[in-house]
Amino acid sequence: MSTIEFPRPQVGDLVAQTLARDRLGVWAVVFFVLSAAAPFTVVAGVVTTGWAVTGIIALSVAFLVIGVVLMLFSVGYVAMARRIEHAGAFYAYIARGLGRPAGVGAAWVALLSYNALQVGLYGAVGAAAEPVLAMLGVTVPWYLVALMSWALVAVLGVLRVDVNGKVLAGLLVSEIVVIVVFDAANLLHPFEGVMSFAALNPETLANPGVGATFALAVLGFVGFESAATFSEESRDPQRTVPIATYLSVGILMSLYSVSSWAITVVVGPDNVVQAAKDKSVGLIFDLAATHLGATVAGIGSVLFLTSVIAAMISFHNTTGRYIFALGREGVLPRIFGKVWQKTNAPVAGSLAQSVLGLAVILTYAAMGWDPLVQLFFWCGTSGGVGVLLLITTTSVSVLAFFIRERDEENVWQAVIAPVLSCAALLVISACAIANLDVLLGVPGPLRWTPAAGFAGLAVFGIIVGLMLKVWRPEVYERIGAGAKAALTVDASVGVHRAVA
Amino acid sequence: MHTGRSWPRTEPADQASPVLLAGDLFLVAHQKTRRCEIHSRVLASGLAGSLLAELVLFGNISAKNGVLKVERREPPRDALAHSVLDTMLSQPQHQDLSTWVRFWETSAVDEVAKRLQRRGLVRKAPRWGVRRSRSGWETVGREDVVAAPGLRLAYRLMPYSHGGADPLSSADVMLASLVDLLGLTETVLWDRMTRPAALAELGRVRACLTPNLTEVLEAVSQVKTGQVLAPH
Repeated sequence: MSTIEFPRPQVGDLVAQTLARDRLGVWAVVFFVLSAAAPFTVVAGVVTTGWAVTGIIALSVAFLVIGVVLMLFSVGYVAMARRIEHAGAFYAYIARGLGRPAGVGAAWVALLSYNALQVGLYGAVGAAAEPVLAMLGVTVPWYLVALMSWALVAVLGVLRVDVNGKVLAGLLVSEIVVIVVFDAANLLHPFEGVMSFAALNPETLANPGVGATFALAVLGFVGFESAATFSEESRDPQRTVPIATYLSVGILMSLYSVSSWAITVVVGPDNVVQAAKDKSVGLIFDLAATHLGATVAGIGSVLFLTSVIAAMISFHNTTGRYIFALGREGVLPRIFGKVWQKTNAPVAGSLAQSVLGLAVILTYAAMGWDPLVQLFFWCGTSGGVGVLLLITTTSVSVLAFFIRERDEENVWQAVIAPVLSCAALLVISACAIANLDVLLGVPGPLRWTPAAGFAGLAVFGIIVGLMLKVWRPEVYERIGAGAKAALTVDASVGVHRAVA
Repeated sequence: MHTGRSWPRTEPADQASPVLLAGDLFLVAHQKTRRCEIHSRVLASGLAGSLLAELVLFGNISAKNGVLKVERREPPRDALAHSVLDTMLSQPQHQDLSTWVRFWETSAVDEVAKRLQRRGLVRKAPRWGVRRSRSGWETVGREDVVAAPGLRLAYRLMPYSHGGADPLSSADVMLASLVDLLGLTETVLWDRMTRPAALAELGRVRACLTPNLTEVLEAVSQVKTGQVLAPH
């Protein structure tokens, strides 16, 4: 056979160069993570509603404490991320660290938590759209706005049209700029001319309801874990993912603590709870209108709305991917492992999430329940508590994993940081559960609803995991395998078909 | 009754079918409307796997535990397969099968389309608008020719052909497996009445896939699933 001589490319590593073209650098990963965290939604929505419901001003300090603890947690988390398959999902860490049954339990808790976070945002979007629609001279009930945004999210989810990265980056930068401008204006107009640092005083944490404040603070950081998802898509996973994770947590921590402190400075620490109760999410826009003018406040209102919608899309897609992964692994019915080949979207997971969202909106509209407190705040904080419990269990898993399988990791990564973060997270979780009554504003047994729900789901998941171990060992072996679960499932589908 | 040999082929009969694998998959993906009916990245991962599978079928490479190994350096006659092998030989530091699937994913659609274009079977199409094709290409020419791979698979997986005719070749088993993986089964097995039996036959023949081709299929499956799991 004649041999055709092809000129050999005089290049270094052609494969690495080609794959690197589409890969993400540190700032690209940071942008994705910050977009998922939706900082403006937290500053304008969570902070003010949190003050109004809990009556505690310690949020600024709580953001600092949680930020530091999450950075400590991230040391072991990103170190372990290099060693597991499905690096963006907490349940994969828990399956590897504490065993697969615990992983299945965590997967169910994660599903409930992310769904709660997503549907909770439908309660905020009405309030976010209100000032924007008012500028247009339109008044629309919250549930119509929620239904319109639901339709948008549902369609984009099935079409897998994520908001364009550059648009997202533009919106995010605008959000951050507006937050910084608002903060500067607030700090330049202190209440009665005195710059108060009361909200930054650690003593404010000495409050019986401080656990509620910690749970709220965690809510602001949800999404930071997704940086590890980008391991395979980053230019240098050993460097990009850890730096992006620390940067994201650091930026969020600074934004949240400074912004919440700045509001207490301009309103006065003693008045901020009442002001939040009176004006709710409109508080920071009223302050902006006073100090910066109606135009800047209007821009802020528009960006708050886009921030809420971007967060909805982000949480919807996260939930859809979670459902898809569990469907592929056989933990959920296989129908959830389906994708729509035209768009490559996890269609069953996306539709399931959308059906839940629609049911929640219609139920709240029919019952006349308050969308901001009883939907946005309750679901948001319940989801936040769920994610806090997941992070805590993951920190225990990281520790357990490195006790058994330590390789190149140094003592700081494998022992010191995981031990410190684990201890801190256990205390914070215990406080949060103990203060659920403050968080939800409901006395009596109802306060335990989220904790009981998560505990029940975790136990159910563990039982399912143990059943899989006995009756379907091939599925059990693949729990937490992520993409690597693919062919086993495909092959078993073939067998099912053959049997059928 | 038709036999497998009587179905039209997209290539002259003297050429071995393994050369056609990636082209066949491309044509199946465009069979329904002459334009691509699946997401371009899904098609790309399937075609990337097909290009590697062609080299497996030529005996140039093998795959075990996710690692590729060059078994025979003598290049195949097909120019694209030759080029794929040549690139792999020039990058010996990369042996991970998934890495190679991801690498060829970046160019497989256009490379395979150009190979078909040289045979007059495809032409450029707009990516946007009414006449858009997700791959950027559309098929041209005689319908029986461009639909040949799909018809061949359908015929050989149909229940009435099980007892006779030609058994599926390794290349066609791989093609059928990739068609299923990429979600194109209903395009090929369009007859609802016979589809369950054909799917059962597909499950049976896929179990007979050689270990090397199974590895390639697994790598494509992983890359494709990874596309869904990764935020973007």
